[in-house]
Amino acid sequence: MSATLPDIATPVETPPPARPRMFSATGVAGLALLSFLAALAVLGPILVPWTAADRDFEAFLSPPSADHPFGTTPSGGDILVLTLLGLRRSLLIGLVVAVAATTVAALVGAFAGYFLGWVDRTLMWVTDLLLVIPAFLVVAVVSSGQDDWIALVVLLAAFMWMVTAKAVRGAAIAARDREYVKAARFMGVPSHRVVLRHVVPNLASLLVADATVNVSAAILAETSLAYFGFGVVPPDVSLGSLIADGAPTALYAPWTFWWAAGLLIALIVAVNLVGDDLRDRFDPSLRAYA
Amino acid sequence: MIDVTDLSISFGTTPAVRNLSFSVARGEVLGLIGESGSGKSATALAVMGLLPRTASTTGSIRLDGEELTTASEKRLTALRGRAMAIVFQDPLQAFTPVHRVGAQIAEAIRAHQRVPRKVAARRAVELLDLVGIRDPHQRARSYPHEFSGGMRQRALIAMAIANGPDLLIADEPTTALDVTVRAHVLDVLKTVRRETGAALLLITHDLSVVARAADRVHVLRHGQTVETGTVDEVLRAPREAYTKTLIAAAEAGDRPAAARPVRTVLEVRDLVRHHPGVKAVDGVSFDLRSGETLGLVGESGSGKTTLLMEIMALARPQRGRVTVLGRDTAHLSRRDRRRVRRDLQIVFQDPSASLDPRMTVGAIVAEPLTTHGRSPDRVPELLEQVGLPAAYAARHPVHLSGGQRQRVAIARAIALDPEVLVLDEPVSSLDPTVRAEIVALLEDLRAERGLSYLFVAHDLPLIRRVADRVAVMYRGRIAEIGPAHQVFTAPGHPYTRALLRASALRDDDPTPATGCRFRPRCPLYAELPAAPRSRCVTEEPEISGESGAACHHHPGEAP
Repeated sequence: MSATLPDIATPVETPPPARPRMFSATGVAGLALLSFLAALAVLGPILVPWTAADRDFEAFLSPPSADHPFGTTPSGGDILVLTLLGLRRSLLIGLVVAVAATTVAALVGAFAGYFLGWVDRTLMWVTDLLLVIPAFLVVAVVSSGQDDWIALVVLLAAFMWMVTAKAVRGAAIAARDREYVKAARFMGVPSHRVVLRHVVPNLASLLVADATVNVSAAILAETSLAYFGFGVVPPDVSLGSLIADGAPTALYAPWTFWWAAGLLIALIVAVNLVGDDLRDRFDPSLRAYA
Repeated sequence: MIDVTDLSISFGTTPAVRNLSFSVARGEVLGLIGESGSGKSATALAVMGLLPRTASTTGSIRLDGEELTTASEKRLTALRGRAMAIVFQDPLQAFTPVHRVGAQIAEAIRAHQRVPRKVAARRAVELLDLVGIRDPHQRARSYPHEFSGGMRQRALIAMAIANGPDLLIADEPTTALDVTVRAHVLDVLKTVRRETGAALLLITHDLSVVARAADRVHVLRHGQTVETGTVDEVLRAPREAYTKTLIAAAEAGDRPAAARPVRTVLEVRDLVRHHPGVKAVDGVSFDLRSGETLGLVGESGSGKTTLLMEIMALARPQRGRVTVLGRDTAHLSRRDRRRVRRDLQIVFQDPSASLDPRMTVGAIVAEPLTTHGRSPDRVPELLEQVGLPAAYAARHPVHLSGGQRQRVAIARAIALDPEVLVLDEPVSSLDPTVRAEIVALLEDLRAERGLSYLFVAHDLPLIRRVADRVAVMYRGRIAEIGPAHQVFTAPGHPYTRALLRASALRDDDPTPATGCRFRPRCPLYAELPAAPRSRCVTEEPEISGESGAACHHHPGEAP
């Protein structure tokens, strides 16, 4: 009943606010953390005097010191530079995979749900097929022959869009009956334009939320693959491969493990904070009360 | 019974109600009338003690001498449902979908009275009987979705009076219902008042509801009392200009009858659209001529919207034929269909649903233009034609009022200079005064541009004012069609007569499979002797020619 209350006081002639509300406090915190991590990942490796290939033969498995602020590996590699490079690779994989997977999901789901009929049957058949394939094994086997991270991105994205596509399909079926979609159709707007202009943009809050979850999921998937020795291959490093390398020594030389693990947690928290905030901002029903 | 003195309510700094005073005596019905934003719902919530914490209230509300504004939450909870009860507009939301109707009414009884389960259940059946539900024993075991809208509203009234309240508040109780069903529900409210002796506060924006059911009326505007008096005084001889506007907006004025134009722009022949289990459109024929307005009326579920969607789809129908501007839709190529769309546009009922919330007004109005390869330069001109400042192009629909949004939807519909506009209840989501403005705009556009309108509405006075011809739909077929003045002054079909007199018709009968589909509700059929009756049972009545009524026994046809 309280939902009917605002109209009592709704002034008709209020000019629209110049801009929807600013980021929320958690959103600002997430964005700051994410920017900081991104800056670290991009600039860090340039500023650190060591490279990934360098070995310090005077410091094997040494704890953090002035020379090596994060310590060294058993073979004398500088953990600071390795972690920053790993962060760079993980961040890149996460973002690219999430954007790619969500795009595919949005297109497949929206077209299937809007057109239904044979378009829907074909697309959903492919979706179901991919859902029942054991993704982890396939990615592991196929990617183990590659030393190209782009191939890994394609493989991860290829197995990450199906569930969202089904959710998007459901939302698109509902959108078919929305009057603004009908209005566009009765105006003579071609069907594919209706999907791209009216159906997909109005699912933005769902898609943004999904993309955020996918960033974390992609980073974690890549991390798991790397942990088991697949995916990113040396000399390339990712947070996952670092965690895998550090795990055997984690108990008596914690610096080999915790830097990478800590950054992974920070990264995923930051992405989720930003995602929550974006989802709220993209919801037009919330924008009305901005 | 209930005394409200000097009541003021405000939300933050915005006043919703100012210095409102009224009282309702035992067995009396007070109609509280006003448009949205007039403070009538806030008043109802204040009486029930249901206002949100952000609202501040001054003044006094006394129920049987007990002050409610200062009563504790605990005391209010005890009073609600027992001493005072409220019936909301949307009865579907007021029932829990997973429980049987009888059980929910019994639960309401047991919430306030210590009675055994069995007694409460028996009482629930009695209450359903009191509000005119047929087969109350059977129906008490039904789920809410198995009830029609009118039945649900009556069941809700049964629940509200379950504990014999002293005050019953009905907040827009019939707004979602059709004319004949509305009449039935209002009759039930009268019965209830007689049986329980409760004071009834009837909140509505609809003058006809007040005229039919209330003793006294209180006209509200922007939270202030405009006029008050007995129904006869206020409706017959209103003193205030605002009341006069309200009454004028609800009154019918006939269009001058004119010879029908020659050129047919839209022709529908024997159109059929069956959904699984529902014969939504079951053999409909009519034609619309250039410059003409055809009003299409009918209760919800009569197939009006399905009929419009079939026409707008411009595809081959399941059966029958649709011809738009001389082109049969069954044989249109993709390119031709797009060309026809320029000349056939639609305005939907609810502009907040028909405008893409993500687009600006400018982009919305420009969309048909760019789609058909024309320049969007005309957008400011189009906005001005529908009475909006060109600067509104930069706004989003959420920042416009309902009337302004509908203007945007109209601007979009006329952007391509169409010949035919389909109007699907274009004003029924708007307030009376805004409604009159939009109707005037549509009339002007029609005169300026020689448009033809297919105008769907369930507001009969409105149709009488705007339409040259009227078609009355009943469960998938046209019951009667003809020139507006003829249909309104000399209706041939018993259903049309019921609609016009707002007679109470039950809405809980299934449609028979053969013969006349109006038979179960038909007052004429009920009075017929056995011999002519049989024709109604076996033979489906047809309309021959361009005007007439689908009834075997209407005056124009030999029995």
